[in-house]
Amino acid sequence: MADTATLPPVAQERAPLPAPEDRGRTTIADGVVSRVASIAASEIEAVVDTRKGWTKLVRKGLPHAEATVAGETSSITVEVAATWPTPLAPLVERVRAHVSERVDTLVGVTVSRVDVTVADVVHLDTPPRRVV
Amino acid sequence: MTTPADTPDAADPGSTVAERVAAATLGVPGVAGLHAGSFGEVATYLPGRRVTGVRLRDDDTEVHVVAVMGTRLRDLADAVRSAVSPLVDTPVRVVVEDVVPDGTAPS
Amino acid sequence: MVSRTTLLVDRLATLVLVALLAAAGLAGLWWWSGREVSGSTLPGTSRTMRVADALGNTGLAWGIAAVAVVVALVALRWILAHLTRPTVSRLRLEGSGDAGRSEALAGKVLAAAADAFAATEGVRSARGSVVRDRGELVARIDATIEPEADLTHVAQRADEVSAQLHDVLGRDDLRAAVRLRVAARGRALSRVH
Repeated sequence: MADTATLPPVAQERAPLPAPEDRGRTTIADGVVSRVASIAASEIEAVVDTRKGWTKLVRKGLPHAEATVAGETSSITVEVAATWPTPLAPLVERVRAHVSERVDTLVGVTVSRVDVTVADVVHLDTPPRRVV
Repeated sequence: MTTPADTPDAADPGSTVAERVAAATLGVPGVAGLHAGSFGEVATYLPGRRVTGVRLRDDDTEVHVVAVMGTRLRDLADAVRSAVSPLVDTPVRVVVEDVVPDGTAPS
Repeated sequence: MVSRTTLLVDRLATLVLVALLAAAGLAGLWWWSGREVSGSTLPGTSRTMRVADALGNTGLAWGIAAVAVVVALVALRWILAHLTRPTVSRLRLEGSGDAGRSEALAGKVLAAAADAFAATEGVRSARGSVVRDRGELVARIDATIEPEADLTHVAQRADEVSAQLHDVLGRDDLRAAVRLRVAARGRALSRVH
C-alpha cells in the first residue's frame, strides 16, 4: 500500500507501467456516440441550440441525435434547428461532415451515414412589432 | 490539474483507496466528472459517505467517467487508467458514460 | 386546396347533373303542357305494374344493391379528395445521397418565413405551408395586413422573403406565393399615433 500511495495520481508521465491495454479494458457507453454527435451538431454556426435559454420553453430540444452502432461503424440521425435565413443544403452538409469527423476522431467509430433533418427554423431577429 | 497539495495520501487517515481513485480520475484533463452508471448503481459505500463512479472489487476496479467534448475518448480512458493503476493492484476498467460540452460545469 | 384531378371530376359531375336536371325540367314542361312534340304526347297516366314486377326479381335487387355499394364508395372517395390537403411535410435538400439523407420539415421552414414576413411594418400576421398544387411545389404564405399598410413596402418585403426562401431551400422547382388579406378596419390592434 505504501509504495502505491507515494505515487501522485499524475504518475503516468514517469512511472514505468505496462501498456494501457494490459492493465484493463475501456468501455464506451452506448449513448456516447449520439451525445458526441449532438454536441458536434450544436458546434456548427447557424445551428440553434434549443436546449437552453428561452427557446427551451417553447420548442423541443434540438439538436438531437440518435446513433445505431454496429461494431466499429455507425449510422447517425441528426435533427437540427437552423436560423432564418441560412441556406439549408450547405448547412446540412457542414453538419454531416462535422458530426462524422467528430465521432470518428473522438469515439473511434467509423460513421457510414449521417441523415440530417432540419426539424426547425428559427426567425431570431424579430424586431418589436411596430404598428403604424 | 491535480497538485500534490490537494492529493490525498496514505498519511491522511480519512482518505480511502476509493477516494484516492476518484481524486486521481478527476485530476486527469478531459474528465468532467464521475458518473454513477445508467442506473446509478456504480459507487463505493464508506461509513457515512459514498464515492460515486468508483467500484472496487477484488479482481477489478471500475471507474465511470464523464468526458469533456473534444477529448479522444480512448486516450482519455488510457490516461485515467494510468492515473488510477498506481493506486490499486487490479486491472482498471474505464467506462466512458457520457460526454458534456466544453465549458459545462462538471455535475 | 384540392388536386387537379378532383377539380376536373367536380366540373364533369356538375355538368352531368346540370344536363340531367335540365332534361327533367323540360320533360316536366312537356307533360304539363300536353302539347304534341314531334308527333307524340306524354300519356296522362302512368302504369307502375312494370316497376313492381321488376322489383320482384331478386337478381335485379342484388344488382341494384351492388351498384349502390359502388356509388357509396365513389362518393366517400370523392369527399375525402376534398378534405385532404396535399401539404408537403418533408422537403429533400440538395446533397442527399449515399452519405445520408438531407431533409427539412417544410412546415417549420415556412413558419420561419412567415415570421420574417410578419415582422414587416403593416403586416398583422402570416402563416405558411408548402403544398403540391397541380403537380407543382408551392410555398405559400398567407398574410393579413393592416388596412393602412403601405402596399408598395409590403409587396417589396414579400419579394425579399420569397427570395430568401428560395435561397434557404435551394430548390428551383419550388414556387413561392404570398397571398395578402386586408384586415377588417374595426378589428385593428391598438396603435400608437
